[in-house]
Amino acid sequence: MNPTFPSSSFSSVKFGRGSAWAAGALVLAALGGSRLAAQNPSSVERFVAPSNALVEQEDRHWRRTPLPVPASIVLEVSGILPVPGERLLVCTRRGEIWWVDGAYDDVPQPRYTLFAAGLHEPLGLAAAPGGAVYVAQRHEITRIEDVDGDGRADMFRTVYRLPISGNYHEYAFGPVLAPNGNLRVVLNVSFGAPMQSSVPWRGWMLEITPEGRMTPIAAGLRSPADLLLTSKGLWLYSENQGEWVGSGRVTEVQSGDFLGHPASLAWSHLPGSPVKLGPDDVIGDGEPMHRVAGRMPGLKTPTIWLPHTVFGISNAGLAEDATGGLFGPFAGQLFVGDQGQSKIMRLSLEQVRGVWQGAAYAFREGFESGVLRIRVGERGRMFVGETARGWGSVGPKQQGLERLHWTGVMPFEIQEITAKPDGFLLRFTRPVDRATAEQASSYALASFTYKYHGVYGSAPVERLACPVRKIEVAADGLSVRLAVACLREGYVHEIKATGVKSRDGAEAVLHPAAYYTLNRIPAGPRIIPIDPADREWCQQAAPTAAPVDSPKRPAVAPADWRNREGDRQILLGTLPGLKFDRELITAKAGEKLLLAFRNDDDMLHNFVLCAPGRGQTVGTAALALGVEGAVKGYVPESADVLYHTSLVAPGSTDRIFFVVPATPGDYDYICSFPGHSQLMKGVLRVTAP
Amino acid sequence: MAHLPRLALCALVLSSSGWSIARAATERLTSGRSTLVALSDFQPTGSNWQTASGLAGDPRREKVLVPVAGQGLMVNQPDKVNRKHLFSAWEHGDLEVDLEFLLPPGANSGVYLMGRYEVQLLDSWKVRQPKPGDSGGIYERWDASRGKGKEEYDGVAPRTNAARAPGLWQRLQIVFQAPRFDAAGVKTQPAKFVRVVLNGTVIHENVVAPGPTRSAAFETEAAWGPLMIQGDHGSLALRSIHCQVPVERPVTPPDPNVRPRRAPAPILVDPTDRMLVQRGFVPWDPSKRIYACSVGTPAGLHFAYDFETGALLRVWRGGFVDTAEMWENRGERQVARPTGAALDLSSKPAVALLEQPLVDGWPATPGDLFVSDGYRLEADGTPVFLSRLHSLTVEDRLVPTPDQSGFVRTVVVGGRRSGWPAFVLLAEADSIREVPGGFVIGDRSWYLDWPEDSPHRPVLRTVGDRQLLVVPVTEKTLGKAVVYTLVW
Repeated sequence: MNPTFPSSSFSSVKFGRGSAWAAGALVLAALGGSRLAAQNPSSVERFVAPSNALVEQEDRHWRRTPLPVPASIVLEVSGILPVPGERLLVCTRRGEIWWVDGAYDDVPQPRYTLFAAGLHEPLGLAAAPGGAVYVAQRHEITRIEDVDGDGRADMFRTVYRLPISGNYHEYAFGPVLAPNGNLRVVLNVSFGAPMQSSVPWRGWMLEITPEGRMTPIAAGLRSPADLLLTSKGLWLYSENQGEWVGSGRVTEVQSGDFLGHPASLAWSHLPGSPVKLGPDDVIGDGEPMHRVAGRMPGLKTPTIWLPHTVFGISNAGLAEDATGGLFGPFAGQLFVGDQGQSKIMRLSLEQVRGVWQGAAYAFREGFESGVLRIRVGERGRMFVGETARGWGSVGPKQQGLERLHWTGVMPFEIQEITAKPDGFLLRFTRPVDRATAEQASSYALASFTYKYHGVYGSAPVERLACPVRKIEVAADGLSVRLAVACLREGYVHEIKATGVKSRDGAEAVLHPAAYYTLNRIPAGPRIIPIDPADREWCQQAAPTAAPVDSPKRPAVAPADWRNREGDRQILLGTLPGLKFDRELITAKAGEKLLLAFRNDDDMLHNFVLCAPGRGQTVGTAALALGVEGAVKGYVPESADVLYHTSLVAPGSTDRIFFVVPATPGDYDYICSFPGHSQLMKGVLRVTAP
Repeated sequence: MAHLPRLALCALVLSSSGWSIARAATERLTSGRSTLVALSDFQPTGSNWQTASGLAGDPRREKVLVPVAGQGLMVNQPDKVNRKHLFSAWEHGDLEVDLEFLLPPGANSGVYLMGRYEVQLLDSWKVRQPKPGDSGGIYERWDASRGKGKEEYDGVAPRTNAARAPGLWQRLQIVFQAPRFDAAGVKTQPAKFVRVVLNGTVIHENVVAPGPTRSAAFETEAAWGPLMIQGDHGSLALRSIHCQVPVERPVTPPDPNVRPRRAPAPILVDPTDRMLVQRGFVPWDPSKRIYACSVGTPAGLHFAYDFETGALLRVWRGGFVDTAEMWENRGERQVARPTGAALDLSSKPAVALLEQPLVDGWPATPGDLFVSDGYRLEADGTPVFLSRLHSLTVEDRLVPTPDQSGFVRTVVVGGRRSGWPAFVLLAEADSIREVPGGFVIGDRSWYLDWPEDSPHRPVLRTVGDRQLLVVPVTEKTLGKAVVYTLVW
């Protein structure tokens, strides 16, 4: 994973400190050279917003084929098991398991045969020895078998009863078969304020023998939507943003790890627990997670952060490309799906000084519904299992099953980023155009991290630009060595190669932005000397912009309101599944309103009142804010935004005071949190006074 | 229900002394409660009505009820001559009624609110698609002028057939709203059955009664009328008739800005070709059973089984389950709710090892020695639940009887006996009475039919104020199936 290039094969371009600013010169000029501006690179890169053009381009390389499903089947796919012979077993949230035949056909018209029914929200399948199937239901791991061979399961043996209290959020993900024949599952904590581990081992990874003997492995899970055993033997799980989880992430798990969410520590004192930390050991003072880990031994930091709203909002299915190239140029790499944003990211891992870390890249979006499961089958076919129910998704359908295959057309992509002592090595899938690749302005690097605290999520904090100091382009044009200033251990490094073009066809990089979680800076030869002057310069990490009380968020009644509570008070709440609890509010023009927005959901929401018909435009603009959106409360600067609340944490309320617009009409209101506005919306109907 | 033609009925109203008494009732129930426990609480009626302390004979199989002299029950035994209805001494407007009734096979009666609007009582046991004339139905109206074959109209069938087997006590709860009239006596609002609950199952909600149903005691509508129990059609026993004038609740006008929180639209699951084991939480007071399943059969008889205890939690008839609380949105309750009419049984262990046999009663939980292993499906989809209790193995299955009268439960306790005596629990109730062919469980709440040729011998024990019916597992009977039929 650490290819070394003889330096003689590189052409090299070096920059002084002054020229490093060239990367952001234009922005700087416009904003008076503000340091902050340099750290806020353009927010309109196409990788952020779903764009038809991008999806079409992606489809040239990895073609998406929806598999037709008969209308009589509600195929909310929650688990996929490719079975040799080009068959699939698919389980659904409604508790059915279907045989799917014909899913590999060029023009698929699959045949669905019921294998089992009546299970309780199974969320994963694994092949069991002897032709049986392991399934993780809400309440147990079950070994299901078709003993009489008629194609329909007739034996449902309880392998292990999973601990539950009855809360809906107690999902069980897995099972994954270990080489020793044991099974591993990861268990959600239950929904409440705060999230609870009401019964032992909720929030834990467990290992269970086929006979039902259980060993706890690791604690600290919140909503671990999938786990994966890689061909290298790494156990990885994907986690969703929430309390104590600043952003979505994928983490490599070892026995005894504490992965961050404290609810599970209620049980670390029990016999068999390999976790030493107890509930009182948790430091939740809001320091970045990697720094807290320094003070709190046993707290494991993520292998790869998936920046919230940029690389998903509800990270889920994990898969490895173990096809040896049948799926394209990313053999050996990993993929992680996202339910809310209906897309799939790509991951590359490397081990540096004994610690796993790596980069996340955009891969493919535009799926029909929320991507919950991804599995790679035969002939390099990836199957994508989808459901949007309960949380919504950018993909418009409620559920679906799709297939993805490599067309053989090589995209121009960053194949892999690896860490270097003074920067990064970017390998490309096709040779780069030397002229653009040697320009510092083709790149923008910055780093940031996330807070560790009991609040729901974290804005990216301590953002700092990493000026490019030197560029070496390999003779074959397939890799670029970037030396930068201000590399920081523990931080996510945003690496954009927006200006780099391909040698053939002068194509831009299909997905030019990647995020490298630099847990460790590797040792080894540098291409730039250590510059002592950088030290002080880099220590001035940017202050994180605090959400400003914008005039569009009037948190107190205007001075001229005689009634300090307004003419009328409106209480707006939430319903599960990305909904306001009312979709129509009527008001008279000029009426003075106090609007209290209470968030009873388990994720962040806001209320944004928009000009008539402009709700979705504002929603799209909020999505385009990218990683910086969190700082702005996901409210874009736009004349279409009339008033808004702050981003409201679960269980909290924000109040705003405003005068109803004078012009009668239907004014949209939305939650502008990325991905929500399509579902979470309503109308303020303004009538003549 | 009425078989009498309308003209004959009118003649009765005009000529019979019983009816004129009904008209003479003047006291009005304007507030509070009234409990009718004896015939003396009603207007004088015919000799077909008797007060009794209990029932002899076999009301499950015999059409004629045999009253035991005493107090507490009112028994109707009409014949061709004595067939008077029963009228309350007071007249009522809005009213809540809560009563218990018992019907012998084929029996037919009805509860007429204001003497006019009938909730039918009928032996509708096992009827799969109930009609307005089935038990709990709002009986049809009758108008000969509508033409032959079209005389009946405006009846409302119960949502589901909640009727129990003949000879079992059944409970009927009615919330009734009287019609409203203006000063000129013109009707401004029709009578309404706000809610009717039969044996714990809601069978009507907000059903309007546009006019008197067939066989009403009065042709015209009025603001007041007596409660009437039909006496001219068949035998029935009544007890505990609690009446209450509903307490007025202030009505707040709906806020147009608030979207009403509606229950999710039902997602009905009904097995058509084979039995279905549907895992999901089972609603169970005060909360839910979380390691449990609902089992549906195409025969329309269903049950819920508990994996934690091996208990048969509940049996029901009609629709199987509504899974909306699992499958709509996030499914926050995760329960599969029976859509048919249910009889709740017990969550106690089906099999137990008892150190002190039955002295302390039956345990509420099976202890750590009990392990559920899941289930296998027979070729037709019938689940066989598998569990272990220490060194014993337990196989448990329920199959609908061919005539759909109930379930045949087969419990096979095998394996190896341990030092502790093992027992299978058949039933636990306030009272259990042995009758020919089996047992009557509780206060006539269900029947347990016991086969004569069973290798097992059930034992009835009283522990405190409870009675237990258990089967000891002996060396001789180990591995031999405990088979019985649960009829309700």
